[in-house]
Amino acid sequence: MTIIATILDIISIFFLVVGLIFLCLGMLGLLRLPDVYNRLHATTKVATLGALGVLASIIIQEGYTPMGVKALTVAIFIMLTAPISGHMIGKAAYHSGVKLCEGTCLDEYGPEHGPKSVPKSVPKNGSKSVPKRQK
Amino acid sequence: MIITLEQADFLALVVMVVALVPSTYRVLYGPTLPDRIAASDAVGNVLAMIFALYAFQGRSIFLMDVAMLLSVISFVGTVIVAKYIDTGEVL
Repeated sequence: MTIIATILDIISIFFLVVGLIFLCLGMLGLLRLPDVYNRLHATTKVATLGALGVLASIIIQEGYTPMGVKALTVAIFIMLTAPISGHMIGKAAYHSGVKLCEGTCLDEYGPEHGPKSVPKSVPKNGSKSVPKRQK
Repeated sequence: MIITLEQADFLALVVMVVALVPSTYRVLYGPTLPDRIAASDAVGNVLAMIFALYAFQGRSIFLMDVAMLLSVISFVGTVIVAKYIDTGEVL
């Protein structure tokens, strides 16, 4: 009996550490990445993987109790809604004219769907006109 | 050195509260408006996780309701402000 409890503790702490690592990496990306879209790429990881790691540790510790069921509900809700909010922010940012960062070489959403303020360095059809590296 | 489970949860709470600092910086000094919205979404999610872990540590069922409500309010606020930026009207 105590062996099973110890194994569950170890699995729970493993999930907690995975969630905290993803949370810290997401916050680092939010601080350091150059663009709105790259920062969205980081914050969605905070919302999905970090939160799911922390909640999975709680679920494993609790089991079938009211607190565990509530944690499972929060986990399912976050897993369903985090990609929706990420896509909404990205679409709103593109439509409101936030420019891409300078290292961008492909814009698949296209200038015809976006506003007029899409930077001119974005090629129209992707892989042919990607700027070649000299030297 | 052996860490008990409660000390591990306390360390996790400390790490989460420290991880709130860069996203708060991005909310305050973000260059554009979608930056601030994305950062406030991340703040809401991390606050929900803090409440969930504190409810688990303190053995209180009702704080888990606070975590659920915070995640719901964060999602709805993010979607509404993103739609306002996109189309210029809320509904």
